[in-house]
Amino acid sequence: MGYTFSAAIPEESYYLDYLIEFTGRDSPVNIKLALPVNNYRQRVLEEKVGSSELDFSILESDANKFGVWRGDQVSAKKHITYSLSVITKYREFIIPSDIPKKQEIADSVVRYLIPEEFIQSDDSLVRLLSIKLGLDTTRFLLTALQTIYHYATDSLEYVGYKGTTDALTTLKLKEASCGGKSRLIVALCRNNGIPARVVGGKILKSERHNPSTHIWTEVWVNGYWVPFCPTNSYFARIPAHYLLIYYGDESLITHTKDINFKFNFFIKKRLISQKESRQAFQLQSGQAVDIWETFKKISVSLELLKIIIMLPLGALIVVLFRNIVGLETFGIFMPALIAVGFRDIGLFWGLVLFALIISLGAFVRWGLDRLQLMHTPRLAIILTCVIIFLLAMATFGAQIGFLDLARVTLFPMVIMTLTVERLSIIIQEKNLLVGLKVAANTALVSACAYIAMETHLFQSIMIGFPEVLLLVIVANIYLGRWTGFRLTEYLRFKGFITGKPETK
Amino acid sequence: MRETVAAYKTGWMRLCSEVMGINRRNLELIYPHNPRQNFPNVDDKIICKRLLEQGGISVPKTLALFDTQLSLRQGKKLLENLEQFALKPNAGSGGLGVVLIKEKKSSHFLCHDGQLLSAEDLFWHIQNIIAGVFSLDNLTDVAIIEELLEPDEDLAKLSYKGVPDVRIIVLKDKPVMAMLRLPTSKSKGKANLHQGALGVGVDLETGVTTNSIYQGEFNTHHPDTGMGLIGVQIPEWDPILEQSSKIPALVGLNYVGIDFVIDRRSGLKVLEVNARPGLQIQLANFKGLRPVVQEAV
Repeated sequence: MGYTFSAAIPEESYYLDYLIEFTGRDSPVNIKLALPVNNYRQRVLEEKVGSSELDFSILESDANKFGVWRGDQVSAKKHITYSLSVITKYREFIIPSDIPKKQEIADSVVRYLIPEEFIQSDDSLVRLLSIKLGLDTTRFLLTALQTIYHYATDSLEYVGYKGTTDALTTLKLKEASCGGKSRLIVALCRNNGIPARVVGGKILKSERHNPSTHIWTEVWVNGYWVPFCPTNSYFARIPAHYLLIYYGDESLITHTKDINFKFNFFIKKRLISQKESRQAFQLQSGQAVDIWETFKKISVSLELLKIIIMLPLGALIVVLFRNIVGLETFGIFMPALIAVGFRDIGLFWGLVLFALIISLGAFVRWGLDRLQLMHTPRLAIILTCVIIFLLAMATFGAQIGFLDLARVTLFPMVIMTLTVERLSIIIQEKNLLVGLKVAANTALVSACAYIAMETHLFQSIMIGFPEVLLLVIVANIYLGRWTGFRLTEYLRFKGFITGKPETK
Repeated sequence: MRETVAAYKTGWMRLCSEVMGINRRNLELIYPHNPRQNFPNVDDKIICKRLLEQGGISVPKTLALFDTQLSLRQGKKLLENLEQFALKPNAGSGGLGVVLIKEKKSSHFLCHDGQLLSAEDLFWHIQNIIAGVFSLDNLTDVAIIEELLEPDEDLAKLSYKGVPDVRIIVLKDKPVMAMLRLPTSKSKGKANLHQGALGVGVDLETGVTTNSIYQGEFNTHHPDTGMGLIGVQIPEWDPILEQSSKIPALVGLNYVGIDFVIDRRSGLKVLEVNARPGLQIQLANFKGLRPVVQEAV
């Protein structure tokens, strides 16, 4: 068909939020935040600043970019958010073994040979270590770098220190976190006349709240800055989930003291078409037939398209549970639709919310029973209560800076309302136990549908090859003609196996 | 020990070769034998009653129909004058939304399960039925008020409140399996197995009960009345079989479950015809449907 498999598989991108909260005390506030910039392997896409009444400006110094928020008289609790999308790529460098250790140094990198406060490259202990490692007699750059790197990975223990550990302390203690290891590598390089620097950034892990940053190193080789990470063992290569935020021994954040400053990252993995990724890196596009591109022309967002294209898979999961396992759920495709609602808040909070909403709804429905209202107005009231509850949760979530909860407004409200109504009827007509059982089944099937629909491998396949939808149809045809027992029927008819009591 | 294992193995083989599961029932019985366009003939109780009556089958007398709030207001008086009746959603299934009123106590209505309903409660329930709360497709529905059947004395003795009925499964014109359904305190007087009624298997030839299940387990005596359930002769057995074999042709469906009630005064009546009869009847008879179905086809 004129395109290769790999060309159609979408790539990963990340959505990143900087979340800041602080309380002003009627005094000036100054917050400076390092922000990622484009380089040979990372592209920053949609940057958005969301903040209170503070003045915002961008400060660029050297290769770094900082966001600066200023206010003269700031009082009460304030929030600042800075969100962006990034595409980051894996890169590997091959260092020719014949490059001499003493390279011709460009003027612009001379400063990366000079000692710094935390990188004491001229200290006698660094010199001594250098000699001990045999770096003095090493002629080639590659050998020198291998020696230094292996010293850092093999001879230095990893200890999760807080705060800044300098090169000298690391050398003495023979243990450090990422920062200390990296600073010692840089010090050893500089001591041997090799330009090097530490860089800082974030390891991108989806849906994790973690304010910590990561530090690794870059060494100047033949005009290129080549990455090395002694902590996670990347020699002359950098994995796709590393986001570089600043060059040099900078801080991610500097802020006015005593303002009860709180900081967190929110990270979410997203898929992006190869074409988009190529455009971001200004590369030529491949030959792939890309449905994303088609839908982009009519302003359908990629996220929406992803939901739509994954829904048949969710429905297939529902079919499996109904026809093969034999679990009763509320509505036929409700679990698949509820699973879509879990996307924005994650599985755990999705299930918590599901439980909260249906119990609240059933309670409201029980209270409304006394009013003896007619069906449709009663449904409208339950819908309204569900919405009020979601808004309250969102407000509460935003207040305590818990953005997961703040996203609940997208939870499928109408579906939850219908679920509540069905639960109420089952409780009335059968009993509470049956109602809870069906609710638990619904939660289980929703969770499974969610997991299937959110699996990146499946998403990549479905989006890269929408033809797979035909396979989904084939699977449904097979299941639709399957005449075997449902699993729950073995339990139902177990009497046939155990036999009648008197015949035993 | 070895005997038990051997017995379980035989049981397992029987289960796998004789018992009909939901998937197989749908694919091999319902879809080929019941044309979709004829489902309303039984799902809509009003149509069903008319078809059966035209074919000479006796059904409970309809006393009133409510399909809008307006007619409800007009019918309020009529309802208040009735001493006993059954209230049903026209498009309901599985006994959902059914209320049986045994007698009038001043301004209140006494249900078969002992619950007292005020006129307001009852009208609200009717409004819910009309709004489609109990209908299969949740669209608006009609509330049917019909005569309350009084169970035959022999069967009433076996049962705890409510109205026992006889379920016959018919394929084309051949009855293939039968079961007596007895309400219990657990089922709140309803004859639906899923709601906790007893299912008592009946020998097709003789109309004598053979085996009984309660909540999916075998038993021999009624949990509330203590009456023995095995070896009981069902009255009017021959007419039941005779009428059963006529009904599929009347409703245009070849695989149906028919619920008969033997009324104390007026005799045999068909309460309901079901196009998707349940499978628990197999356990009640300790017998799978597959061999008998094969014979009938």
